[in-house]
Amino acid sequence: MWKDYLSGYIKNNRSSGLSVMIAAFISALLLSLLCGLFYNAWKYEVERIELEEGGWHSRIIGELSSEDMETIRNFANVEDVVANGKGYKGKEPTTDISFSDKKAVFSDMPRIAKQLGIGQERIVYNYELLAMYLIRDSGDTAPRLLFPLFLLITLSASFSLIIIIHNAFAVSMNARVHQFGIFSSIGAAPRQIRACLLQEAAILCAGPVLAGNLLGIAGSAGLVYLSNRVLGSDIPGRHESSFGYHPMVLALTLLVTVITIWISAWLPARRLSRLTPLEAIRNAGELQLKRRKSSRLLSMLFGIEGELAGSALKAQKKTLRTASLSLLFSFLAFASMQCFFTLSQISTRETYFERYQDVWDIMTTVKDTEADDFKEAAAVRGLDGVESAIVYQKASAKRLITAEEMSEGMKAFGGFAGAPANYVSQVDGGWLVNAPIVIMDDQSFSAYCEQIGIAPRLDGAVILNQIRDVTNPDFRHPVFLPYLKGENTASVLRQSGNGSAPSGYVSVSSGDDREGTAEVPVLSYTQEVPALREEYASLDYYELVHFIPASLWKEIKGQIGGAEEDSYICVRGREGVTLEELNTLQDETVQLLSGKYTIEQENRIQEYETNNRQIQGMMTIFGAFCALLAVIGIGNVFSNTLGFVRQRKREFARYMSVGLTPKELGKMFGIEALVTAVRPILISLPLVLAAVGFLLRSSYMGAGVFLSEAPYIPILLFMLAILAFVALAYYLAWRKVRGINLAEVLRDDTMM
Amino acid sequence: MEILRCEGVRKVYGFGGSQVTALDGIDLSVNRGEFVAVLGASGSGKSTLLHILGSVDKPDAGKVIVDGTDLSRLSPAQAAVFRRRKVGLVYQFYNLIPTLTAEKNILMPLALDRKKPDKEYFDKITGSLGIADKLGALPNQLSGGQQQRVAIARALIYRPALLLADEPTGNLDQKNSREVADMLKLSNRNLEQTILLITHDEKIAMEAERVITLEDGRIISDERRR
Repeated sequence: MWKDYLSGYIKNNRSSGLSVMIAAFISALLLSLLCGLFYNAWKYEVERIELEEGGWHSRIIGELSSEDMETIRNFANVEDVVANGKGYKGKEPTTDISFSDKKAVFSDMPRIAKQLGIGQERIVYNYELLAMYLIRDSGDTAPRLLFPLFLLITLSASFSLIIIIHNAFAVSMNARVHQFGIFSSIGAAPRQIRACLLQEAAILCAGPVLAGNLLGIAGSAGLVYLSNRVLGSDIPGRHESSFGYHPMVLALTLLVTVITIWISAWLPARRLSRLTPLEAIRNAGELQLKRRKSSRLLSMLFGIEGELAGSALKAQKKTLRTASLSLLFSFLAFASMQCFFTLSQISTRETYFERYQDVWDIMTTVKDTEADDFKEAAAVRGLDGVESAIVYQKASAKRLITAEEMSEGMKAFGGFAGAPANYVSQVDGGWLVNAPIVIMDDQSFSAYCEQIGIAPRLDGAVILNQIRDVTNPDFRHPVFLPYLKGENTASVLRQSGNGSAPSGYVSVSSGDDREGTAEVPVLSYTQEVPALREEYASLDYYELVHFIPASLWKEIKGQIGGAEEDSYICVRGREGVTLEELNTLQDETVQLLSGKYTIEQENRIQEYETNNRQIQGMMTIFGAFCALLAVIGIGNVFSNTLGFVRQRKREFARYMSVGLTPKELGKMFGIEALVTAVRPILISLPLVLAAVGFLLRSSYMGAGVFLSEAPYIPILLFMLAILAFVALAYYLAWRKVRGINLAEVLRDDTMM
Repeated sequence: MEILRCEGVRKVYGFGGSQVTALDGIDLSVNRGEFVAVLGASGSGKSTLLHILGSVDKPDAGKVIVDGTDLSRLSPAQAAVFRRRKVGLVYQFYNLIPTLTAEKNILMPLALDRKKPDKEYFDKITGSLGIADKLGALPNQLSGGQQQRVAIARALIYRPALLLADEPTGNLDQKNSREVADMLKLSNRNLEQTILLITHDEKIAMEAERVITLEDGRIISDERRR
């Protein structure tokens, strides 16, 4: 009987199931996308760990004999044993062991060690890789967040979907309260009604769930492809991910989807099944207002049709809740996202690309190489198309600043009074500040000396004598003042970490204790920096940057040390260089240096384009999510309006019976459509404007700059799309209503 | 043999100042096979009484016992099963499921219990109600009188202890009203069906062997006609 009822109802009321089907489809799509992406993120991480660390599960440090190796191989659970001659951290040889049953690694390895007679301290585990298979040990204290994060995101997604889509089920179910009242009155138990409604949900959702899942898989493949295209090999050290899918992922996705949809259907089904037959039968399915509410504005603007439309909208408040919320959130998210990315694009361009546009074209990181050991500077400069090439390395040091040295400008804003203790420490005779050292190759340093108007010398330092006015928080338009008076002809650099407690007052002698210090002549105090892609005093406003030549560093590095492991080559091409030229130059640099050095490279134009692609990619992904949200809302509007003829037939018939013309009824529909579509936009716009205002203020960006590039067109198109689809939904409903036979409706009571 | 007993049944709707007493201390006893009409004007409490007797609603005070079952003690699920097996309800507006055929509508109470119909009995009631040739039709393909006969057949299919009819002729023309009243009488006589008919129409009430008159939620007369 239920089967007959369900098939009859579904067949005769296709439109009312539409929003349920859309909701199920979108839920399945989102959850499938999420699970597919998670699986690929997991797969990528496993591949990355195997590439970087190796695919072993446990490793024995130290040399093993061939008998020992054989003993390990003979363990039932051991899959593979590989001896590494190169050794663990370059010190000792190692033996890598893989297990067929990974879970047994923590119980089998101690037994292997015991059999071989080696200590537990010689055993290491590939915790990072094992954690990817949810195999954890108390020895692994690192937080492994991938799975908890996935769980959290999936639960939040499911919860949000339940909140959003359960109303679609409620609308479809509530349209038949009267019918279930009849069932109940002739003895259908609440459980039977619930089961019937859930069966109906299962029938309606089966197809959309499968389709949504398949599209979600395709979507995750597309996103993996997109992430490769956007990030690709432009990011140094990144390997490309390949799309993969596992039947278990499909099973998990289907399970999560079914649970989400089942809860969404169960909530209204439970509510409906709990209605007493009397409550259900009395509900004629017509829209009711709980208390009198007038729509003054609509009434004032559109007359009686406005009043009627306002009342109808208020009565439909619950049924239109999914639509209202989805449209509101989608427009809000879309407009905010567009504004945020535009702001971010402007900001990155202004603070990074435009600022460093004339400073670098290709940056090469030379791994594990000191600047004074790098011998290819001249060869790089000799490459075709190279305008300049600066080889440099960075080192950290400390410098004592006395009260007498401080410039008047600095004293005026309070000196070190507001300096954070983790950057500046007060010591005997002054303040110990960070003194980053930029070690430049001799030729570049000489050129820099000429640039700032001093005679080139290779025995001293040039000090960047500027400090930001810390009282002015506008980072976009900072005001710089002289840091020091610039009278000292020598600067004493101290070993970083020696005599510099991280915070508080420490007792350090300013004069006689020469251990861990190097006194260098000061060639000049300047506010002009060499053309390097470096930011100075961005975090620690109080650092005092020293530029020194490589030959001087060679002399003092033994005293103060602190150099970073890698060196850099900042290459500038000709004016107006193209991406192709830079790519060629990059290839030539690789040819020149590979084999001798390990290098990583960045290309300015490529980076700019990658950045734009990343932003476009992110906007596409977020935009697609916003569009999906809008589809839920629009689907709900369609389902609601197409269900009008059933649900509101008597309401319209009554209006018509008292003389409302079809044209006036059409006007009422138009007003309802307008309010449904425009309300989310009107609510969102002030919120978006407020958010943009806040972002502009906190990023110190001029409103004019943003307004000249604001994303008017995409927001307008999104807005028009919402308006058009809502208008279409109401138009289709209007066409149906026009066909009502007034006499029949007023007479017929079985229509429900 | 007593099939229905009400003791001091009281039902109040609303709160505070807007309270309306629909039933005010109803005491009533009906024997098996009786045909009782409850007559009253609009607002007298007759529909409320029917809903309470049909376990569709619960009294605020008092006791209702139908065929030995105390209705006030039933859970919603038990009440549903009670309605399915012990009570047949006929409404003014038929309340048929529009997407099911007349036959499926009639067999619905049995289907809820996964029971197969007694073919002979089914033929007997559909035949005597004159709808045997309309069983494949959907409700909207039937006239009002035919729809009401389908509703009566549905109410009778489980051989309920009590058939409760709420203004069953209220939506019908004179000819159909007459016919429906005859059908009820017929089922009372032929099937020994206990019937409680709620109506405001004195003419229809006169078809019953006993007429109870309600006014402002109280029984003001209880008259046996033969």
